[in-house]
Amino acid sequence: MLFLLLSIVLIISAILVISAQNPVHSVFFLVLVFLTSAFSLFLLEIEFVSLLFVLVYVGAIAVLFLFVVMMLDIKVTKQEKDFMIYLPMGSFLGLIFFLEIFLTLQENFVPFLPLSGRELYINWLNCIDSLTNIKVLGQLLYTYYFPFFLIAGIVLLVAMVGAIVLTLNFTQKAKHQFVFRQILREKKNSIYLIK
Amino acid sequence: MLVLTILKILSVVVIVLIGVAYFTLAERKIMGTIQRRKGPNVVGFQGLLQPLADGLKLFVKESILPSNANKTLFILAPMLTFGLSLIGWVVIPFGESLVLADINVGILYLLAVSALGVYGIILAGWSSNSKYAFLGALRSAAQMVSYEVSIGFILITVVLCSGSFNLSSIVLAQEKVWFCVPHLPMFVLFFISALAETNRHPFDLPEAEAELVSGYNVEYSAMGFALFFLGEYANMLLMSALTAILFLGGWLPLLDIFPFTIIPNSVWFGLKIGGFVVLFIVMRACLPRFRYDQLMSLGWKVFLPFSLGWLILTASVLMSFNWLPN
Repeated sequence: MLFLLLSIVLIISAILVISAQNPVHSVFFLVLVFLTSAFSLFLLEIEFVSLLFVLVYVGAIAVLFLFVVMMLDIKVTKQEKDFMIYLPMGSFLGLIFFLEIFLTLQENFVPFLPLSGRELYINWLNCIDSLTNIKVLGQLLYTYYFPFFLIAGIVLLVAMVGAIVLTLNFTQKAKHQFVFRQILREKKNSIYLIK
Repeated sequence: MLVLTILKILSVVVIVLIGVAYFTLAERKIMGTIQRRKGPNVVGFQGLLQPLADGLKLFVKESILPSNANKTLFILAPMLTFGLSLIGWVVIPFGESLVLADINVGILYLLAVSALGVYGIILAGWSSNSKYAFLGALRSAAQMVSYEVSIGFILITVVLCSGSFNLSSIVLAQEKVWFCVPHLPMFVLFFISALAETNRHPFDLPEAEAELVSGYNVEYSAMGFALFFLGEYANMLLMSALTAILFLGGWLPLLDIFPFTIIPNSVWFGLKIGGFVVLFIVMRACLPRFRYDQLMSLGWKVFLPFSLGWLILTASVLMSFNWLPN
């Protein structure tokens, strides 16, 4: 019941993300999409991932999105013309995407299409240990998937270094405050008589 | 069943709101004492009913909706802030098994709630459609986001030592020694970050009306302002409670011997929160305000590297002595 309600809100706000006239509104709807999907993950008892979703996507990424959209001063956009142009291509891509999702569901989860005669499906409940979310993730992440984990860390580090290099400019004109110099300043070497 | 749940929730919410009301009174009284004046002493015995009178005043005042504001978001923002400041209390254990929801990821839940708290501020600033409110909102949001990072590292340090994200287990892990003893620098850092996170002195740029034209809440009046105000103070109480749980052993008594064990556990917890509340107020009374660039450089260039270094130190000490909790 709650899940149904959440998914309805999720779908409606996902539609509003692309159809909202004001870009700031559409970012707010995007935040709502993140939140509702996190809540539905919570209802499916995937607490760790859902809270991480809220923390990372809502708490950090969407805030930066908002900052950028708010600062750029984009006013209300006219969308009707563009919408008709992009509609065929967009719906084609969407269809492919949905088809892939349905096929994956059919293959790996509960088969709901009468396509294949395969009746057996994997009961995923038996596949997982009765451990908490975090322990399961940790066991997988630090054993089987550790190269990917390390690579992800390096990618993030490179991105961070790149951002810092791009924004750092040593100009002599800019005035900097050096706290330690201010603290070390004493009366005897700062007040003197000029003859 | 539903009635019982609602009663449970109310039993926390009402007490938090009363706590907030008397937090404001304590603030005015203590600051009055520090500044050698009396503070409110007219309404009720020694001014004890002053917060209620203030609440009534804000309630009956006229709410002004700016004509260019985005009405829905303008009304939604204070409600969001207020609601988020209350739902954090769900996971706070007031005593042994005295908690509304004893979830396994309590700390992450609190972090997520405080991450959402930024949205109330951004919404308020943007929907007011005023330059001052917008700039103030950006300032406060950037401040909260940057101090959240070092708070996250400090939380991970504590979680490493207790081996659980559950707040009750964190308290129980401190039965031998409170975490403020081995992690004293992190304790101080966490409290300062909590000051910044709740936009409180000496980091209270939203309240700098003289030099910065206040903050995200300039356009708010009456109930909207009151909700922001209540939310802010409830957040301060929440951060005090969190500091007490993480570093001062939550509901645990000072020593587990006779004269200390007479006092009930939840009273110990309340005393610890009260101590932090007084500290919040004294900080406000005696410290000047930080400049914005100083605030940011303190957060990113001092707190973040220090807490990250301490995290690595803790992890390596725990690893090398084989002290890691199961």
